[in-house]
Amino acid sequence: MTSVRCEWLWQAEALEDGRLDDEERVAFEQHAAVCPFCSAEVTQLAALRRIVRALPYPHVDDVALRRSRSQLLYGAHARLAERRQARRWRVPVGIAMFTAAAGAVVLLARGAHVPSPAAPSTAVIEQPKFDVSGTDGSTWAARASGGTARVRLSTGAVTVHVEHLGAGQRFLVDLPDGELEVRGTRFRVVVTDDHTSHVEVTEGRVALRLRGRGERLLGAGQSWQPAPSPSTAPVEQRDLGAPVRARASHAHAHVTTRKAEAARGDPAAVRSAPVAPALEPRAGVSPPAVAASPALAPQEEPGDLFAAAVHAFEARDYADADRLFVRFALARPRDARAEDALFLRAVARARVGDRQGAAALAREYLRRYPHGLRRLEAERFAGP
Amino acid sequence: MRPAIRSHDLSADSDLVARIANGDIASLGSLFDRYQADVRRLAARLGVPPADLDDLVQQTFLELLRAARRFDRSRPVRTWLLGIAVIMVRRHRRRLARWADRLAAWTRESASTSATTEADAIDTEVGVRRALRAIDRLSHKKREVFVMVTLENCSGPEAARSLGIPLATVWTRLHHARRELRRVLEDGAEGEHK
Repeated sequence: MTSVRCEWLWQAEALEDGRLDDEERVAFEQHAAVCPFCSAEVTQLAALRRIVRALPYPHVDDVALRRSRSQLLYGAHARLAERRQARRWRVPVGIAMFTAAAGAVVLLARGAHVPSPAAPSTAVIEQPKFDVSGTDGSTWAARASGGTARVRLSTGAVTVHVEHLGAGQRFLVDLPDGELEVRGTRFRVVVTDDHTSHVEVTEGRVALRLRGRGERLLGAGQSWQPAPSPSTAPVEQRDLGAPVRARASHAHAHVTTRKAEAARGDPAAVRSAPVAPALEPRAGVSPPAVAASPALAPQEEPGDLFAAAVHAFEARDYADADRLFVRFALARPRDARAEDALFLRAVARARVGDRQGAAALAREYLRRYPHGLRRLEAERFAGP
Repeated sequence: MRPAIRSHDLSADSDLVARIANGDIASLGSLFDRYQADVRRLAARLGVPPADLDDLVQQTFLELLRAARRFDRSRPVRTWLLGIAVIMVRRHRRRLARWADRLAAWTRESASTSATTEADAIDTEVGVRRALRAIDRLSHKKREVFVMVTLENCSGPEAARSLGIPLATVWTRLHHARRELRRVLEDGAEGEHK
């Protein structure tokens, strides 16, 4: 900024803002042509605009964008359905399928936006025809928009039959940790504790896409479930009626294995984990690559873990807080609070005098969250 | 009976909003396709953490289901939508305020007790990081105006209407925001934390 005032100087900003009318603009531009101060002001304001407009901001890839769009439309549908309240939609019964283990219960999908078999065919793409049944206690909802039908499964088990899909038609099952797309088939999927725990295909083919993993195709007679061990055996073909024992690929087993092996304290399985070890009662434990805290106890919820960790932190029990934050991060690596958890681990290390540990965790924070909310403080911990 | 589903790609923005007001979810999807990037960019530049951006974009577009009925067709849809996004950001910020205060308090305690206390690394920051930090340090009110007008290319009157403030207030806040940013970028010094 110039420190010498020209009585016209304020008009430089007015020009930038578009506040000058044509006559004023012409007059000022004529003045600025011969006034070095106003000319410099105009140049600097334009430079500021260019600099800040060129600043980076987070982008999202096509897969995430497509998912975000689907979630939006699903949420919008749910909101509109709530408003209508009294309206009910019946899922079309083309071919009934009741193969759930606890006995099938056909649920009326309240608010499901699915047409009757006599729906008009004037749409560019007709909606798929399908049938869904869920076990007692399962939470799911079905809807259709255009040529795409979706079932959102939150927990429990559903059995789905989808009639052969035509061109442009799609049928997907939204899972807490991914999605499953079908091609006119019969299958069963189970979600437990926000994770897909079992998929079994009796007819046709499905494509299973779990977050952070590649697509997996399952054909008739095939099933999938996360492996309890680090075994890398592929999905197995098996006869229907036999107990499901298929083992996941290494890619699928990775995250689940990390949790399970952490429970047994297996260093090998945790070696590649991005989470540094929890504080031991003595200070000075260096990062990373040893066994982490045990996985969740059956009755524990990740949200409770985070609250317990914060409580321990506030009580200045930094070792306990660190262990709880590690367990929370293992249980919910993609939770929005994972950023805070990692930052607070660095603070906890600093509080107990572990400078190296605090710096390592702070650098990990900056690597994972380069535009994180606490990056300024993390930079102090990380040092030069 | 469901109405026929047709492509909305060629519809005017205001027509899409009118259909959304009538519960047309496909039109909501079309509007999302057109402006989700703008909303995401605005939210990011207003300081919403990356982990929360998805949720905030979702909330903004879901809010259209209610707000579409009151939309004035004489207004540009984009600016109206960005105004809704600003409201969502403010709500998000209030929700996080208490948590952020706690974190900040713990950090201050840590800075005073930790053996790793360092001189302010900001003194050595240049270029992009300094500019980002400078924008971060604007007050929320100045930042909203600066982002809407300078970064998102909204006119002063549009920004005033979307933010619910007088036009003169827009210019005043914009002036002060520019002054703070220029002080940081030209002199290499940090403005006062707001």
